[in-house]
Amino acid sequence: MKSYSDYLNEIEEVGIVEKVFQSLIYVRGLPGLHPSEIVIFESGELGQVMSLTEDYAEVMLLSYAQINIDTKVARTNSVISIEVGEHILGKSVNALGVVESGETTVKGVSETRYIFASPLGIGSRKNIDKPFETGVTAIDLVVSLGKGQRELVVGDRKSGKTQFLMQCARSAVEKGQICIYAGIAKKRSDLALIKSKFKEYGVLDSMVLVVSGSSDPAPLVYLTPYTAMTYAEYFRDRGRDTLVILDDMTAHAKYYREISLLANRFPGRSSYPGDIFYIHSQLMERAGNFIVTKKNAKQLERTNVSITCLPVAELVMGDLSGYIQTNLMSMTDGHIYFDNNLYNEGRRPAINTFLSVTRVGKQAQTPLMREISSRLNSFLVKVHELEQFVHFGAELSEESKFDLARGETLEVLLNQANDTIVPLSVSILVVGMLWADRLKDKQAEEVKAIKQMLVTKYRTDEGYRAKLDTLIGSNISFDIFIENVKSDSNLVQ
Amino acid sequence: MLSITSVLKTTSNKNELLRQLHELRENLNTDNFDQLLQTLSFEFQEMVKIHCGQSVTVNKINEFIHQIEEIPVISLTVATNISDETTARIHDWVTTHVGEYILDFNFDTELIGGALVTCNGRYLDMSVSRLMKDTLSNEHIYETLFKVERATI
Repeated sequence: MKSYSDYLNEIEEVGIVEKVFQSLIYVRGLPGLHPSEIVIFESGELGQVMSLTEDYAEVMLLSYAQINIDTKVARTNSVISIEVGEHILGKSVNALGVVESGETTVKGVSETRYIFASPLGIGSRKNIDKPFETGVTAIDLVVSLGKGQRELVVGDRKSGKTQFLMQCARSAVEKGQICIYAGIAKKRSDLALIKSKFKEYGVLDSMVLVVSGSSDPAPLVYLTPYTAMTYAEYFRDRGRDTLVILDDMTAHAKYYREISLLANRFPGRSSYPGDIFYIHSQLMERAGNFIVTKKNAKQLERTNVSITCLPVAELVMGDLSGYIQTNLMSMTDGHIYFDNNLYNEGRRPAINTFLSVTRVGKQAQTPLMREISSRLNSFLVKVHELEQFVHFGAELSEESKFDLARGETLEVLLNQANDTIVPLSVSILVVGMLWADRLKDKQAEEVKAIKQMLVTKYRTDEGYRAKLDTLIGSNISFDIFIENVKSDSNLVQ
Repeated sequence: MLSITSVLKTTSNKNELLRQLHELRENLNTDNFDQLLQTLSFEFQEMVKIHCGQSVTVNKINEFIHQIEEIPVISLTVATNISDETTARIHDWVTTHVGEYILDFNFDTELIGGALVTCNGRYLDMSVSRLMKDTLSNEHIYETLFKVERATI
């Protein structure tokens, strides 16, 4: 970026600061200014034009600095852009794309991208047809996701949402995807912990962390998810499937509300501005399953690439009917609900599968997965109803007792430690084992140990992995799969 | 009719007149009013009489103050002090070729000469320092300089 005097001499327009309201500056002058343009103050600070009136330009200050009245301002004739490139992988950056202090970066080939880019049109999109593995059994089997899906992760504070997202990020990176994690208005200590965890898991080199602290200026917090999405679009255009995690959008809405109220925008419901829906929907629309033209060695190649988006929304006392939460639910392809009651019971992850929805996941599943998902859902409902009967002390038939026992074992299988990733094939296998009565009369600890053993075997034994993947990938029904599990003891030991 | 800008040439003139008008307004219905009016310069007295009429009221003074504050300003940053005669000549030129403006002078010796002009949000650097900077940033100038030096040797 050039200096203030360079821009002043180049564009030959000057403005004067007349009013300052925290991070909102009112500038008089600059007759050729246009909306969303970046301006530079005499002190070198940057601002973005929010709106233009007859007398003033309303500018959002993009830093902590104090700006005084009568400070001069120059236009830059450019919009807010960030530098994107492979060099950004493994780094944490702020909303303006500046690498955090203490980190060095070797710049290779890079380009500049506008962070408020329009989403690709319908002609560049394709139906979601590939599964997205989260590495969490409960999601992969019951509330399955597809690559390119926007799935809202919703729950109370401290209900395990961030842990789940970290599992998704790990799983995505292991499958060769790029992961962009946007920490929006988080505590600096939490951000440091998240980064250290990713580093510990060995996935940081395929990730970009776009972070803003809770004490950062509101405009920087507001820009954070747009910057994250811009990085995702860069990697999408390079032919890489990308996962974007926006943690969390309710905080983003609050900081945008603060800016709007300072700017005297008319407050709507819960004092949010009238365009709060658009602020989020324009972001969600930039994710999806796309057809991208990639330059190969000799020719242009059209490939399917996805940006999967997991926005997060925080609830208060489990209230799903909040304004921002319902907005986000309507603009995404489903939601995963983290239940505080289940969390307090010790369930990990504390996902309430009855209140979770996936609108797209099934079309991305194989026939076997679809059948398993359907059976599991019906079975879980059945077990839930039986538990109500037991609660009232009713007598049960042998079949019901058997189903309850199976339900308890299923609960153990769906439980998963925060730092483990279970490959999809292993999740399917353990469910097959359950239906094949291979886990009958086994204690919870034993079941956990069997599952862990299978995960380790799958990761370390290439032959076993290939065999299991081939079996699951073939177009067999669940009943035939169960027969295979019953007859082939090598699969389960 | 005597126009305001024929009397008010610079912002220091304007600020002085505004200060006196505020004082007049404070003392409007007191014995001091006529005395204060006499302390104004002849031109200022004439302007007050023209714009406020025979019976001076608070509203008329406020209107007059508002008119003065609305006069657009051309800001000139120069390298040295400007004499009154030069100020008048610049002001006359502006009035003839541009319009009714007041001049606001600032000083910055780093300009060496010329001026920085700001008006209605537009900015123009006509300083000698800018001219020298642009000239010296031209690569060919060094070639030209060296050729001249070799020829003299």
